[in-house]
Amino acid sequence: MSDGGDKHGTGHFIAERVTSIALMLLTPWFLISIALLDGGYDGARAWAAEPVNALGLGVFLVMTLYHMALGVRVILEDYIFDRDTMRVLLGINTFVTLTAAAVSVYALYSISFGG
Amino acid sequence: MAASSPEPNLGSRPLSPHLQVWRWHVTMLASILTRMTGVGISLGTLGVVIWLAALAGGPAKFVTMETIIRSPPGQVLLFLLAVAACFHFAAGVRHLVWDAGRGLHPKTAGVTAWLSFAFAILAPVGLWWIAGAFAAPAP
Repeated sequence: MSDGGDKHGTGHFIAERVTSIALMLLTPWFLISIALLDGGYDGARAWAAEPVNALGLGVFLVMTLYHMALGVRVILEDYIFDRDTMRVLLGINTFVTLTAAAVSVYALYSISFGG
Repeated sequence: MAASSPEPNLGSRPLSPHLQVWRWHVTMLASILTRMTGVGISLGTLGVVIWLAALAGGPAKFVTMETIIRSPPGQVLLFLLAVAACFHFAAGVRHLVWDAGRGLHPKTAGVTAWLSFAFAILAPVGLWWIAGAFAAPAP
């Protein structure tokens, strides 16, 4: 019955590459910004509250989390041989990444507008 | 991530060839390290999300987070995460170049694998350098 594909391969391929191209720019920006952070809590908070940085962090984290969900999915599909186990783990993968995205967006909202 | 009905891999999807009968090559190592570092930085990303949540949660939570990060085990883990991130980044660039149909000659792929290893070490050292880790301590 299974031909080994789930008929979403092309979309997966494209999404993985679109996110990776975005991350080619966003990852160096994030790593260098974090390395340059200074001034402890107040410094980090002031940096993250800058609209450009808040937006950059949001896009960086959502792109990363999506790319991560795609990658972890392939690993589960390749190495988990029990159908039920795999489906549960794929569900956890989706749940964890979407929850992390929601936490990120809420944290950024709170930093920008929470006072 | 679409909610389809995925089937487990019962031999219908190709996996890596039997490692026992393959001569070791640097591209093999680069290939599996791409996956392993991907898993590592996935956990690291969740760490970044927790760090951001701590930043949103106020000074006390952020200081707890900073204390963990600045402890010796925290710094070792952070450096390893940076190495994993920089390697995965370089591996991603290689893959995008391959997608464009370039750099696929075994010799070229071997060279770019070694370049990825070099980048994975040098870029994090550079990050620690711009963070002032190698500067003389303030008097």
